[in-house]
Formats: sequence, structure tokens, C-alpha cells
Amino acid sequence: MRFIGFILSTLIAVSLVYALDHPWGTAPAMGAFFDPMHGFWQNAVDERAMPDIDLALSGLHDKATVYYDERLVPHIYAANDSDLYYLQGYVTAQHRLWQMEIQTHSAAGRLTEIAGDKALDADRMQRRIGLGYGAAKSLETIQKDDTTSPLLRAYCDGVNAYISTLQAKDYPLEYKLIGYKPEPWTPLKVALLLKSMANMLSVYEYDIENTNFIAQYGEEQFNYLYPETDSFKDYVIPTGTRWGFSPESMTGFSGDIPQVSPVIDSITDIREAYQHVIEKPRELNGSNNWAVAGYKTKSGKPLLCNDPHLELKLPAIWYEMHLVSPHMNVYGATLPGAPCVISGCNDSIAWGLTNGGRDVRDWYKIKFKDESHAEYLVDGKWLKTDKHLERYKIKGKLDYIDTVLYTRYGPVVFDGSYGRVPSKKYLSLKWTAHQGSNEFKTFYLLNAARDYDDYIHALDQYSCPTQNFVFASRSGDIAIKQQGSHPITHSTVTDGSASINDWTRYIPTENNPHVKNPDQGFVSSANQFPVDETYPYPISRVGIYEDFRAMRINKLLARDAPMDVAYMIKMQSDNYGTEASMTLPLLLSIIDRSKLKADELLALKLLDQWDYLYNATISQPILYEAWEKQLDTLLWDEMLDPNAPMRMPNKYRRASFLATDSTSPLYDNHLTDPVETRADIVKMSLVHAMAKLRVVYGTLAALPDWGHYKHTMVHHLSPTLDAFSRMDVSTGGYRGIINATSERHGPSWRMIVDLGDMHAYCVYPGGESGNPGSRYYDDMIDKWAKGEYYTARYEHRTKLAAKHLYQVNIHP
Amino acid sequence: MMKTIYAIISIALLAALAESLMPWWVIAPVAFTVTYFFQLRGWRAFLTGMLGIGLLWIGLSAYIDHTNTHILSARVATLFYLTEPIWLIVITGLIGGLVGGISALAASYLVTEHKVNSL
Repeated sequence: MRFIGFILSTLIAVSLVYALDHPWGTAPAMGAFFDPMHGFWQNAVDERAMPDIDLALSGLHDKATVYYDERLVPHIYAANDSDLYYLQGYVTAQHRLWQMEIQTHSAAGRLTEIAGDKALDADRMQRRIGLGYGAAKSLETIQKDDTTSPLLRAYCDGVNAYISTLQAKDYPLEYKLIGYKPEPWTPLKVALLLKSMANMLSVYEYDIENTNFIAQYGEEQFNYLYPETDSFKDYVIPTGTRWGFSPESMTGFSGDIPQVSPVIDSITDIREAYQHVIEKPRELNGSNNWAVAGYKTKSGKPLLCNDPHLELKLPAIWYEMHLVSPHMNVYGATLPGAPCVISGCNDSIAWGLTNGGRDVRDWYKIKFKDESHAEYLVDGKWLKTDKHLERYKIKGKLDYIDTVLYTRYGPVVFDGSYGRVPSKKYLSLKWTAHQGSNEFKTFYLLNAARDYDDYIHALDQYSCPTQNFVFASRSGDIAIKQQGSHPITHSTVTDGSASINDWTRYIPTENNPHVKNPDQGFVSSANQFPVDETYPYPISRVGIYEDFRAMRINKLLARDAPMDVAYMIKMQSDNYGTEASMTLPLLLSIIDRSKLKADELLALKLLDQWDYLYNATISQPILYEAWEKQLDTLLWDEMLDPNAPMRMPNKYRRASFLATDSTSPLYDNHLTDPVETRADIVKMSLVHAMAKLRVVYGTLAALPDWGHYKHTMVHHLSPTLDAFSRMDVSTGGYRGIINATSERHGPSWRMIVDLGDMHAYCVYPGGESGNPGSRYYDDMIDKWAKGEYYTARYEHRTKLAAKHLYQVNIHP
Repeated sequence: MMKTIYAIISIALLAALAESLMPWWVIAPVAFTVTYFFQLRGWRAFLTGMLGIGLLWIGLSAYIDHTNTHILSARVATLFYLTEPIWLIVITGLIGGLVGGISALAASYLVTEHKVNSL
């Protein structure tokens, strides 16, 4: 009896321990997870109670010190650059390890190893567009460079030194929840991170969508709705700037220079619809930067501002740092997992980035000889296909193997084995992100740059994604350059069987659009079209360019009264809706107000009184946004074909179309019997919008304010860990507005640098720590939402030594 | 009674010591061994194991939660659809207590009749 009791209770105890030591479904191993000595409780930290620490790190050559300031921003003082990057890696990993790894797993198409087969489609996409292929090439380039190679190695060694200190109880919370552990950090991961930025920012081409449109509606209609030129004037490079290219550099452009980009010429024989497109980031995402010359500021020295707009995520996409060695003293936003500062200042200069949005991809239609796909046709000859076998390790399942075909252009992304419908149309992707490049070197040189010449020299290395680099120096120069590797690309799907369609011509890097100290006294960019028609190289206009923020920024910077930091702060939070100010007066003048319901008339009355400000506390933006959304759907119904994805004309074109074309057949909506006119569509869209609002809110009086309606959220990187998100952020602004904060997207880093006293002011929607158990995980979000800033402690070491959270003294 | 209290304290202390060197499940052999050492039987053995580990885990987690001002527990509670962070401490105590209790119970079956506790 006793024996049976022993066996039975032992069996129960062992089974219980076993059950609690293993994950079940999405639940973590509960025993391990709840154990206060190893589980999630160990991730509860209190950095404010941290004592000063002495630390020995064998990878270091000399002594170093790290001060963590009151926002947990690390200030690293090292005796040489190698130690500096070693510690940048170590310190970043300490706060952001899980984020670094998940982002590179995503770029490498390895999420299935963690998340199982539900991530397979996303993983296959990353590999089929060739992110890893491009990263491997970049890594080769970086490692061939004597400067960057050892520094990259030092950074990775630093990350790995941190990882090697970790026991299971120290793993970031997400590892414990999902049930895996960190792997060593490698230079390839750094390259992957840069390629994943390229994948976020250099995908703005609409070749397939344009082809679908032309196949259905013809070239004339295409040119009409997506014009090469319009009334827009606020280019990145001010109109009238003299290019000053030497004749030598122009002849380097292999002879003839086409006057317009080759939009249509290559597709005459392939007019057909393509069902597959790669989903792109939403239009009107963007970024702002500008610099004001000293003679227009109160201090007499330049001011520089930058706010790159990206998806709002926790842990935040940026990690603020101060890096000091005898060779540099640089402060700003870093990309966790990669060395250097990306947007920031040093004691001589400041710089910032916005996306250039240039078309740097082409899609080539491939003709294979037979079903084996072993050979494809170019210039009448059959060339051999490269077959890359991609193996996916899937958690809890057998490995999956995918074959990706590579032609001379690049990977065949769509080949019938991938996508929602089987298709025998083969499209090979050519993309500057596939090329080996060393963006890291640009940031390394920029971090230590002293003047304009250093800045231009640093940019020469930079390839992808195209960025507008704004610049200001203490010596008084301001400048902007749109830098990237720019082949002359096509705007439609291109015939891959003719080698003449391949990229042969690149714009020389020294002839990329740039301007130094222009007469207007400021430089700015906000993802708009870069140049006026005098620029001697063709640039496809049919990419994505956003005009409204640039118009507003330039208007605000054109004022005569001297500007200061307070004015810059006001500008970065500016909520003026330029798009609404162009479109709404048209709608209000066109609309026929007879036979409207009482609440529709009231809505119009509210809009009549609106000053186009998207402030969080008012409700008019709800009415306008609901209206303009329905307007797009009804007006551009021609482009809503589920079997042939097309792109709607941009909102700038929509405004000019509404203003100048009152009789276009495009106004007619295909889904309705009567033939609609412009006035009908404007009225219908208001009626539809009000009907939608009525369903949700009942009456206009019950409408929430804009901030609550828009409901900005900062999501945790893992879609299953919404508990670690911030769901309740109320802010003004919206897409196309300087304060471009939308539902899940917005200013990911706001920075203002006063080159007079070298004070930097910054804030970002997150916190330094990636640990949800830290008060520094999301502590900056509230201030960010209110448009307030922190003064960066970019100051002398003695001040930091006197006041900080804690310090770490490190020796070899 | 004193023996039970000594056993509870021994389990808690030894478990804390063992856990600093080994994974969480070391609480099971600790509860088992200490219970056998103290020759506890029946429900008293179970309760001793349960309280020894349960109180250790509750004490540790409550202390951690207090110094962290509930920042972590509030987020993890949301993740498990719990309304209050305090429930996480309760669950922590229950998990540890259950493993400790059943392990102690198993040991109690090895305690022979003639060694019945005389205190």
C-alpha cells in the first residue's frame, strides 16, 4: 500500500515537473517561467538602484568607462576606435539583444525556427527577394575594406562578449516566453540589418502596377494620371540651383543622355496583367529634415532638425548613444545591432536623414526554355539559370526546401511556386540592394567628419537605400545631398530577353543632386521629388514622392524673423494639413448641398470652419479623412481590380485633377448604373463617409476627438506580445503632415541640434531599454506624444561624471 | 509542530541555495529529501513541501515586484489576461507550492511506521 502510494505520488511529481518544464502550445514552460530565481521575475530590474560596477572584458585593449545618464542613455569613453565599437556592441546587446536577433532573423528569412510554419510565407518572401544574397555581397565589400573590417569585427565581439555572460535566467523576457536562446552575433547579421533597412526604404517602384494600368487603360491615360511634371515647386534641391557638373563627368555617362525616363518603350510586346506584387509600405509615410543657415537664426549659427518616420515599435527602432574616442565624439540615434551613429551630431557637424524614395528596382520578364527552368533566353541565346536551394528549419516540423531561380538580373521572385495564385509568369528582380556596398563606412566617416568636405567624402561610399543627407557645420555651412546608387531604371515590367534593357548606365555619385549654402538660407527634404527639370539625368517620377510636407516646411522656413530652437520644436510638431488645405476647398465648392441630411449639412458646416489643423483635441479631421477615403474608393474604382493590382494616383494629382478636369469619364463609378459626374462623386463620397460614421458613433455629437479616433499605437515587435505594447497614445498630426503620426507610424526619432552651443534636443517613441520589466522601456512615449524633448547630455565628461544613474569602469 | 516549521525553513533555504546553482526543478528533490530527513508523513508532509517552496517563491516574487514597482508584473499580468499583478504572485506560489508539496508527499511514503513523529 505504502509502496503504491510512493510510486503514485512520485509519478505525479515527476509528471508535474515535466509538464511545467515544457512549453504547451504558445504558453511557455510554466515552472521555468514563474520560478522567481530563473523565470520572468528575474527580468524585473531597477536601474536607478544600480551601484557603480567594475568589469573586466578580455576583448578590450585599454581602460574604458560607460556612464548611464538619467534616461539610461549610455555615454561610452574608450581609448581607441576598436574598444569603442566593442563596447557599442556590448552595451547595445545589454539593452536590445532580443530585438537585434529577431530583426535579423526576419531579414534572413529564419522566423520559422522560432515561430513555426506560420512564418513560412514571410520567410520565403525575404529570401526570394534576395535580402540574404545582397547581405552576403555587402559583407564581402565591408571585409575587403581595411578600416571597416576590424571595426565590424570588434562590434560583433562586443555583442558576443555580452551574450557569453548570460545564463538562462538573464535572457531577455521574450526568449523565456517563446522558449529559445540567443545565438552568436556575426558580421553577416550586421549586413542583414542594413539590407532590411533597404527593404523598408528602397522598394518604392510601381513597375508591375504601372504595367497592369497601361495594359488596361493605355499609355495616354497613364501619362495623364501619373504625370512627369506638375505644378509642384518645392524640390529637395531649390529651383534655379546650378548643377556645375563638369563635361567630363557627363561623358562618363556612356554617351547619350535620355531626356525622359524610359517609361513605356520596353513593354510594347508584354501587355498583360500581373497578379502578384510585393506589398509596399503605405504611401505618405516619410521623414523630414532641414537645416537653417546662421544668418537666419538667433544664435547666428545653423540649426539642424531630423525626424525620420518609421513604424512605431517597441523596443524602439533607435537606440540613443554617445560614443567618445580620441578620434570622435559623436551623439545620436544608432541602429541596434549595427555600429556607428546613424542620425546625430559631433562637436563640428550635425547631420540627418530622410528617405530619397528613388526607383532602384526593376522587374524583368523571363522566358525559360522548358519546365526545368535550367536555361533562359537573352539576345537569342539560352543562358544557364542559377538555382539556389533555400532550407527553412521549422520549429516542430520537418525542414522545408525552396528553390529560387537566379538570372543575370537577380532572383525570380514569382515563379508559380509562390504567391496566392499559381502563375506561369516569371519575374526576375534587379535591385541595388543586391549589390555589395559598405554603408557602414559612410556612417563611420560621417561620425568623425569635421566639415563639408569630410561629409561629401563620407557620402561617396553610400549606396542603398537612397537618403537625403542634410548637413550643417559649426563653421557655418549647410548642405543637402541625395545619395545612393542610381541606375537608370524602368517604370514598367521590362523584357528580360533583350540585354539592352539591363542596367548599363548609373548616375555618377558626384552628380547626385546636392546643394551647398543656397540663397534661400535653408535646405530641407521630406521625401518629395528631388530636382526640377534642369537636372540632366532622367529620374522616374512614377515612384513615390510626397509633396505636402515639403511645401509646409519650406513655407515655415522661408520666414524673415530669426529662428531658434523653440521655433524648430513648434515646426516638428506642426499639424497643418496641406493636402486638406488643397483638396477640401475644392470639395466644398463642388458639392451640391441640396437633399443632404441634417447631420451631413452639419458636417459640411464644421468643415467650412476648419483651419486644416490636425490637432488631437478636435473632430474635424475625422470628417475630412472619412470623406477623402471614400472619395478615393469611388473616384479611382478603375484601379481596384483584384486580379491586376494597380496604384491610385497620388493625392497631389487628385487635387489638381479635381480642380482642372470637371468632365472626365473617370468620375463615373463602374459599380453603379447611372453615369456619375464630378459633383455626384463628391456628394456620394460624403454620404458614404457619413453613413459609416453613423454606424459607429450614431450622431456627430458623439464623435471622439481626433487623437482618440486615430488611436496611435506603439506595438511590440512580436504580434503575439501585445501586452508589451502601448495602445493608448493620443497625438495630433497624420500622414502628409510634418507631424506625420498616423495609427502605427510616425516620427521615430526627433532631433534638433543648435550648432551655436552644440546643444542637442531629442526624443523618441520608446525608451532605451528593450526590457518590458524596466521603467526605461517606454518612458519617453508620453513626452514624445506631447511634442516635448529631452536635452541630450552631449556635454563634457566631468559633468557626466558628476551626475549619472550609474557608471561602469571597464578594464582588459 | 516545531519540527514542521524547521522543515519548512530548511526546504526554503536549501531550495534557494540549490536554485542558485541549478534549474528550477531542483525544488522537487529538495522538498523530497528534506521531508524524508525530517521524517514527515501524510498531509503534514504535503503542507510542509507546499509552504517551504510556496512561501519562498511568493516571498521572492513579492520582493522583486515591490522593488520593480509592478512595472514588469503589470505587463506580464496583461499577457496572461489577469486583472491584477498580485495574481502573478499567487500563481507563482501555487506552482512552486504544488511541486514542493507533491514531492514532499512522495517522500512521506518512504517514512516507516515506527519512526512516527513523537513531538
